[in-house]
Amino acid sequence: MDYPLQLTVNGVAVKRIVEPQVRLLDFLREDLGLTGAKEGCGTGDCGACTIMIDGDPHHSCLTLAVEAEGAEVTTVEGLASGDMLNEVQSAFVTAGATQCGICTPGFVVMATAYLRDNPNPTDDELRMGVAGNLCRCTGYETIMTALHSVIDGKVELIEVAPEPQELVPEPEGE
Amino acid sequence: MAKVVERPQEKTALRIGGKPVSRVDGIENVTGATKFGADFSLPGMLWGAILRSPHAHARIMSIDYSKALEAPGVVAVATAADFAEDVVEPTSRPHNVFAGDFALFLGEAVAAVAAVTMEDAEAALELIDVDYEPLPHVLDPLASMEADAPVIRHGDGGEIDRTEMSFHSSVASSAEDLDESGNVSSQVQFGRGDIEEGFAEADVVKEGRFTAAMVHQTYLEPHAALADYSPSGDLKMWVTSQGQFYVRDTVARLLKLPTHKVIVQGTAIGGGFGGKMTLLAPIPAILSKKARRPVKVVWSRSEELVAANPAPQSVIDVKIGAKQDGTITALQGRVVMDTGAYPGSPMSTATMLLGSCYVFPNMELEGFEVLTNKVSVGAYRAPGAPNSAHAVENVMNWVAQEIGMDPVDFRLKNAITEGGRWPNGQPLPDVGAIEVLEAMKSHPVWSTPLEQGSNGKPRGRGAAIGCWSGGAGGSAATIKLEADGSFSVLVGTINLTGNTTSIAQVAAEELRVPLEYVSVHQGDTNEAPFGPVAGGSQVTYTMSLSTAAAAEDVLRQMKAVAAQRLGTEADEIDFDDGKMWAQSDPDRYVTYRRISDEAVGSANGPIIGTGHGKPERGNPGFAGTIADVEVDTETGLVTILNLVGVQDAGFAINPLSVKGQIQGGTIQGVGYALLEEIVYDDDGRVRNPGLLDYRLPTAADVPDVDAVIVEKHNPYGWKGTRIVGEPSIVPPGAAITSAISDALGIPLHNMPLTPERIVMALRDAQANGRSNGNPSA
Repeated sequence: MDYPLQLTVNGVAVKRIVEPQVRLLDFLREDLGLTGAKEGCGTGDCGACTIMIDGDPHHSCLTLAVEAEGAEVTTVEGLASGDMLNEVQSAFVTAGATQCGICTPGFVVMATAYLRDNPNPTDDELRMGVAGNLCRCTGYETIMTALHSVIDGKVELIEVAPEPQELVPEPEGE
Repeated sequence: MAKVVERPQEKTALRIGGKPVSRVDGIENVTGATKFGADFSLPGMLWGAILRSPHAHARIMSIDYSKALEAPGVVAVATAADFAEDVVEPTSRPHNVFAGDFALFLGEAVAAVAAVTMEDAEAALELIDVDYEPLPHVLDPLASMEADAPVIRHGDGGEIDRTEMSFHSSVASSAEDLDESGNVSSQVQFGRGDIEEGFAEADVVKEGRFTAAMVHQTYLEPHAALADYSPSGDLKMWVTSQGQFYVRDTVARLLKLPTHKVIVQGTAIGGGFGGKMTLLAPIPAILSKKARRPVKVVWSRSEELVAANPAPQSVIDVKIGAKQDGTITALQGRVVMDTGAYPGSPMSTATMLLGSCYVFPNMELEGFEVLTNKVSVGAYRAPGAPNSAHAVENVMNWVAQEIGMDPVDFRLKNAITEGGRWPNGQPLPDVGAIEVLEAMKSHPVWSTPLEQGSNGKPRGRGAAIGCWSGGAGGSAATIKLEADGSFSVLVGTINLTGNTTSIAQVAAEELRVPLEYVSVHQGDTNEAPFGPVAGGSQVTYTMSLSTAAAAEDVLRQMKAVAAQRLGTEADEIDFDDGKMWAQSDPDRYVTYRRISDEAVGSANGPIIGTGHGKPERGNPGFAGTIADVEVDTETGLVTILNLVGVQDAGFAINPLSVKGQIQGGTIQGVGYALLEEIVYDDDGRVRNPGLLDYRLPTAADVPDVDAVIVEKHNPYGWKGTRIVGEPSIVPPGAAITSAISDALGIPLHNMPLTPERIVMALRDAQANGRSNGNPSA
């Protein structure tokens, strides 16, 4: 039994026929080729598949594609605006908050949503707010450093693929 | 806050080496652009699913998959019968892709199906008819050593495969492989001096039996591999693994293909920690060869927790004697390590490391590797070392307490130094044990007495150190000068821990250009020069040397071209910031861009440099942990108040990255100490095959780690670099359990100290009339 599905993904209208049992995670990864969301556990315990549905964070491994009917879905691929990374993404890069990088897409989506709704959390609140996103490499400290820099308004936004600068001019008369 | 101590002035004069640098691939990671193992797909690709043994020990009488082959979407089925007998080492897990005559643990792969969809593949597994004859099984390593234990067979003969352990440790230890008359698959002994005399000289002797649980590396990316067997007989693979050349060699051997026909592209890897090698890759390879279509297999998290290669359970006895002045006189130790269904555990390393941090004039160590009907174990970040440190360091603290000496001072008095010998007799190079201990001693957490809180929850402090030998494999790198004067570095090593950034730093430093002028590319196994497995903390250590050598080769060629243009000799050339000049005329220069142009048409031709070699020797790394804890005696819940991780990095090429390694390793140690344990039921079934019940530390569980980098120059490394990745995980388990013991005033012997174990230990102590006293009593 196929289901006609219409939704918006990262600002682009999408219309597809899907089977009703297809998970949103697989729909995004396999049908749309958006492999940013990762499957770390498939049971909602690790947060690596976190995406936003109408702005709210969800585990895409526990969500059926058809549940996103008519919704606006945002994945990690849709967080940057134009050539600029968002604050959380920029802070992650600056703080060295990624090691292997597999938890990073889910983490930045979760943190972006959390800090939008809770702009001034205490450290304990912040840690509890992102406790559903596991990271095995960093021990969380650089991630916390990154998120605190967002809270403190100290993030310098980073440009995607900046223009290279010429290293040294050719000598006169060459 | 990370601190860097002992950094001589000349090192700070470097351009980019030794500076904290954000990862060059950071932007890719935060935008979802980084492609990991499961992110690769091909047109016409099939999905593979794996049938696993429902028995902990069984004889496989027959396998009939004819019905599965007729099922919708199914294209191929593979079993052990698809591999030639002469390529399968009976005792090697990586070579036993599927169970042969015997299934040796519950969850062992028996067959695999390739089908058009994952649903089709999984449905077809149900149609495979396997006739099992269940056999008696044994799960406990001590029970497995008993004479009446069921014997775990692997078929006939074959050398025990210790390849993966050799990646992690460059230090040889001579484990003796035993025949399979019993379940002890190997054993090792180390001795020195006279053990009885040693204990007779001691004023204080303390001992204990320590257990550590089986824990999983829990890289958040499960195993994934995609194989495409082409009509020409090339097998192209995309695999998440710590060693693409190791995967290639294993697959080529198993499928009897020429090495150059197996082309493996190691993908970005979502964590490995020693656990991601070649377990999965042969399965999509054989399925693709049979199906003649691309096949992808991705493990589920439960497959990871049931059937990967976790870190071993162990039972370790340690006895240490010391004089009242703090001089250690004797060490006795016995390791029993549960290797699971196949040999290949880090038993001999764990045994040796019992006697590797201090000077022990008299020593008697023995180790036993024992087979059980559980999943076979593999490497996990400093394999076996956390288990060893847990035992030795707790006893060290008991001895210090008994003789009334500061535990760090006690260690300083006995710490091993250059020329000191490890139990296998190998003399040590100049190591940083003393420097790590001195950094611990001067740390504000250590020098400030721990005050009890007002909430009635007892607090305690623990200190521990640990060491790891690390790998020192051969490696190679290629560097090209590109048309605009920038450089591309080609390597065959996996970017496991951000080492690509460190390699770029080394190249930029040697070639004297900004980091933005260097890109590092990880080629596939046919494109790239050989690189060692990203294990044993060795990638940055070895690749920095070969990258620097490749840069030297490039510079030699560039200088020749520049000298010709400038009308001087190559040895007169100086260079910086993308230009070269004659020392006698610094104002007249030629840019790297121009050199690149001219080289193409010169006798030299395009500029390409290679560097290859092997570090002269390994360089053991030492690390230390200080932990302050508070224990809720009602619930058994432990709160970590302070956590300090100190490590000797030799020379931190990228302090941001080294700090990250110390923090990450220390928090993994928290998992060892408090949370993580794979639990089996009596049938040999894993009871917690998911991340809800196999609990990793979360952001809400852990404090910040005060990471302190010590730099004790290593003469064999680039600018003094030493191994970095592994040592930080060695001491935290010991330090944290010791702190809990200190808080409760009772000796504790198990990892992890879950709330349940703490409450039980308190009850036992009260029943025996012993608590809130001296844990060494």
